[in-house]
Amino acid sequence: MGRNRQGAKRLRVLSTWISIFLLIIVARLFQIQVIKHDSFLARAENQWSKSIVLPADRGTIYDRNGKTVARSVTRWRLGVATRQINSPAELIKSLSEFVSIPGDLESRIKKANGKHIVFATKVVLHPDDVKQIRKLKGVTVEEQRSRIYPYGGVGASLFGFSQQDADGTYHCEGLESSLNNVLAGVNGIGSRIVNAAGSDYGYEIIKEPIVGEPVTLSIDIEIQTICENLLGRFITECNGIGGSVLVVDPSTGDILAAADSPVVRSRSDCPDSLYLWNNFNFTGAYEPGSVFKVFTTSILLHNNAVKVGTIFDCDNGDFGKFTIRNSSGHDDLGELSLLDAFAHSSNIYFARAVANISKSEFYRDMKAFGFGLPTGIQYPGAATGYLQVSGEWSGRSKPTIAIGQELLVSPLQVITAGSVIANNGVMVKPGLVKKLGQKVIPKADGRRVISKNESAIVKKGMALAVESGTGVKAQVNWISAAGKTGTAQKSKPGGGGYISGKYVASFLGMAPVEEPRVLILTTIDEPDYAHHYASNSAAPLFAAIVNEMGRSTDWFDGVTSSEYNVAKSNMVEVPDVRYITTTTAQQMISSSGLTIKGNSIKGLVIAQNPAPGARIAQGAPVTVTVAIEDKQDSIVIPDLSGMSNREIKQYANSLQIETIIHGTGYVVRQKPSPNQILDGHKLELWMENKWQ
Amino acid sequence: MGWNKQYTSRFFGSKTVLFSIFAGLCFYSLATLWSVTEGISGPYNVVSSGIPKILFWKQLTWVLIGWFIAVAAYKFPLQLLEETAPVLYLVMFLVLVALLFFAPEVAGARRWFFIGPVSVQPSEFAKIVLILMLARLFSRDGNMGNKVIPVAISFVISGLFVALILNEPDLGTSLVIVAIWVMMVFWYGLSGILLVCVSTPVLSAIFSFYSENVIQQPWPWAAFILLLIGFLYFARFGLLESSLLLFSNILTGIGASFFWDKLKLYQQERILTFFEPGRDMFGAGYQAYQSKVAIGSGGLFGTGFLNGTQKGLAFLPERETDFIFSVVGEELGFVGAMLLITMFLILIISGLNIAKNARKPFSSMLAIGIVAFFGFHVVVNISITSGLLPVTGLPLPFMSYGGSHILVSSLMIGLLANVGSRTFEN
Repeated sequence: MGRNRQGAKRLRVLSTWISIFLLIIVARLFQIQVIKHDSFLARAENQWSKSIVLPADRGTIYDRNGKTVARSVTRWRLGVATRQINSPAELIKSLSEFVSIPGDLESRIKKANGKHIVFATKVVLHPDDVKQIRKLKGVTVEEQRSRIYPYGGVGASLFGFSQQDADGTYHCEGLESSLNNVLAGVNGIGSRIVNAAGSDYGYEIIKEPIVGEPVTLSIDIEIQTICENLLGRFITECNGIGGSVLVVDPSTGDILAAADSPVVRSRSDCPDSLYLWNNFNFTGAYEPGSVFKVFTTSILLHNNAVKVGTIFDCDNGDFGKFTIRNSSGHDDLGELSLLDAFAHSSNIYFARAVANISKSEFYRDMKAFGFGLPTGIQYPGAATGYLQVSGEWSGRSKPTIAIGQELLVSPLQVITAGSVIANNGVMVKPGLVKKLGQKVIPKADGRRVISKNESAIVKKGMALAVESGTGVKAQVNWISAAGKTGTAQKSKPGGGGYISGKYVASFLGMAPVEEPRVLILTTIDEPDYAHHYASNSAAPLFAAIVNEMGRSTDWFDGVTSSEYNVAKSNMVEVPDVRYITTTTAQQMISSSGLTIKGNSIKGLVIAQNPAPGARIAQGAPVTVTVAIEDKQDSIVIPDLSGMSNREIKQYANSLQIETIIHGTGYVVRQKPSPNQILDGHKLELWMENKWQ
Repeated sequence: MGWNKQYTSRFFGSKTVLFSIFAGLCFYSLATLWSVTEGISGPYNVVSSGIPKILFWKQLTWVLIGWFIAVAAYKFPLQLLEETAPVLYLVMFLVLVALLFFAPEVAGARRWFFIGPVSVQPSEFAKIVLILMLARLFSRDGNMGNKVIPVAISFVISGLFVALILNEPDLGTSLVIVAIWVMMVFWYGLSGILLVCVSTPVLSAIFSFYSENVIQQPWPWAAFILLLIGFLYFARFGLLESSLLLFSNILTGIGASFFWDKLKLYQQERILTFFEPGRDMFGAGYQAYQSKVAIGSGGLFGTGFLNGTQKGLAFLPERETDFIFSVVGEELGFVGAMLLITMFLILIISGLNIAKNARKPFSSMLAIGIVAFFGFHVVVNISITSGLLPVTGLPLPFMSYGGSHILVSSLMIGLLANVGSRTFEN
């Protein structure tokens, strides 16, 4: 019995101890599972989930006819979670069924030490292939957003670019930047899942990205293409260093084209040459020269300072303290009335005429035409020009400004002021955007600046200038035109006189005269001596643009003229040969009565010029840019000399070819040599710094 | 009240209860192991869990064999076991010695023999052999005579096993054997005062270690020694006993640092990490930290069966063996963990009930040894996984993957039911 009593006591001791231990455990579990649950759950989630940004698709940008000029596409970034790979060779073999594999991938996997490596970005993949690749063990496939511009470099400085930086933020220029609020959309949030080894298990969507809204521009991509092509040709012919063309529908204010030069050669240029992304039409500032006489005349008529019959002696430039000369070649104009002086661009006439109005009247009315004021255009960094307050003018300021000197204007300001003449005295502010998302941007209300009568006189002067004055080379045989030339010496940077022999030639014109359908400002920067007068450079450029618009677009349809109809009937519409093989493209182009131009290689057409739908003369060439036919096929390498490292990379990426690069700088030698076939070997390039 | 107590006694310890718990634990184990081997569905596709499915099927095989062993043990004559215990002990002793000489080294340890595709861990079986041996030793002279001599003998026979197993090295199993020995000695009837005398040197060693290696200040150990002197004075110990006890305490306190130097580096790290959890988040502390995160993230009801992220994405190490409790904590939450602990609690209550009411001293000692085995494994394993004790390799009975321990645990439950049936049934 004693044993039993002792046994019971020991049982109590044991039970007590076991109970204490179990209670401690239960309390501990309660503590970490119930009381501190949130903290541990957060730590767990922190381990396996990483919050990521799901970039939203940017909205598409359309031209006025609904043609896509910029849109977002899906591209893929491919990587390898090397820790999960047993046999790199086997993996590469299965991967190569879908993508081309860089030659050093196997060695990179071996050297990666279990880290994750990315071996290809911006890869184009079929959705079915993506599914197949995702089944391969250890391969990571991530979606990327990329922006493509179906018309390539056309309108590059106008549309700008949107580029995702390494940190995921977007860097934009041009309209991509100023319309970013609408285009960008709202990024989504995802949760990337990783395991303890760091392997990527993909992501879950927490918040769907909201696609950006589309934007419809007033730009007509065909007219833009015409302007860029002709501007380029004229700058070359005039040996100029740059230039611009701004085309506006004066009745609506729609900007149809805004071409400028120097042009951006490729969108990968961006960080190095950001200034090229500024479209001169909106951000530029120059002295307008004689084009400004359009507005001086308007202001003089508006203030009753001159009448059509007012006559001045245009040979006497002696103003006492200073002298004003007509431009050379206009030395013996004699006594002229207003319209003759306008058509022959006499400086002395207008310098004398402005004596009849006060400084403040002149200043006030220039402001009314928009000079020295913001244009309100939806383009980043638009210029306001420079117009000194009349109170600070010197004695010769008034006559100098009257002939377009001592002030700076942007092409857009000139076009805006020009719309007053085209619209019978009413200013219609030009704009670039017709539709933001679903919202139609209403046409700006016109503002009367001068009377209908006054504007009719100025327009008559402009018509006379084209008919028999400085602008005769702006004539187009099938349509009436009016315009004004301007040849302004370039002032030294920072003021203090002019640079001899350096000019900006410009021409402000409209056609047809009665009810103008286009208002165009052309400028040529620093044409050579033979072309330095606008009458020999900017004016014929205007004519060429109107001609080409008439021939290859339907913009002037309804303008009755037998010449127009003849010109039109010889035109052929360019077929869309993009994204088909060269063989088929060849057939399509020749059956349309056109000729194909470009490397005679078999492959896939990725771009064409002129754009599809454009109308060009029968037998005219269509230039095609060709990429490879498929992965297996050989590639013909063009002349790459002068290309930068960046450009080479982009080129090689787009064709998925490997390169061996010697040295730095720009390409001086290449193997294979230009227009030879690259079959299986790597493209070898030698670079030097001599252009730097 | 009388019948109620009677009923309770018969309930806890009946073969129905024991085999139900056995079945419940096997089911829990297999379900959890299924989850551990199951892949997790990523957004792209299903990704492997990193633990092959074959482990589940192996475990299922062990469980089925375990049931045969349990039923056999249930029917086995205890008399025969009592008589053959010394033979079993001798055989096990030789096997453990042979292990040190002939077993292949795996990850720096000689713990396993490989017979074809099967690996056997003899130290698991050493536990039951020692329980049988001690039960026989402590049941020979009944409650008469001097108890010190059998205790001394038990110290030697247990110590031999501990020494051999520590050399493998296998700290966890060594500690289990110490725990079994302490509990069986206590049940044998050693006085509480004597236990204090045995245990204070151990406490002295721990305080000394803490002073020297963790905070590097002498006061905790000094305070412990002062408290001990006070205790010895007020408990009216004789001068000789007091001196001896004080001397042994100081000796173990100083000896602790020598023992510390003898520990393997990873064992030192684990102990230091226990005292300072933030010490090494990605080394020794990683397992303990990940286990706490897994259990804690489960919350009240868990993430749901198969849905544990810490398990599925392989953050939780040793999730199929020593840390399988963390998987239960994560996927089934506090409620699921409580259910599991309740099953173990019923098992322990049954064992204690059987030990108390057993008709023969051998049966009683056998039952208490088995309770010590289960109790220590459960309490220490869950304490480790919930961050209450430093990490040491110790499976959770029935739950963890591993053939040897499943078979030994099944054998123990069969023997317990055997004793129970002789105690409560006619």
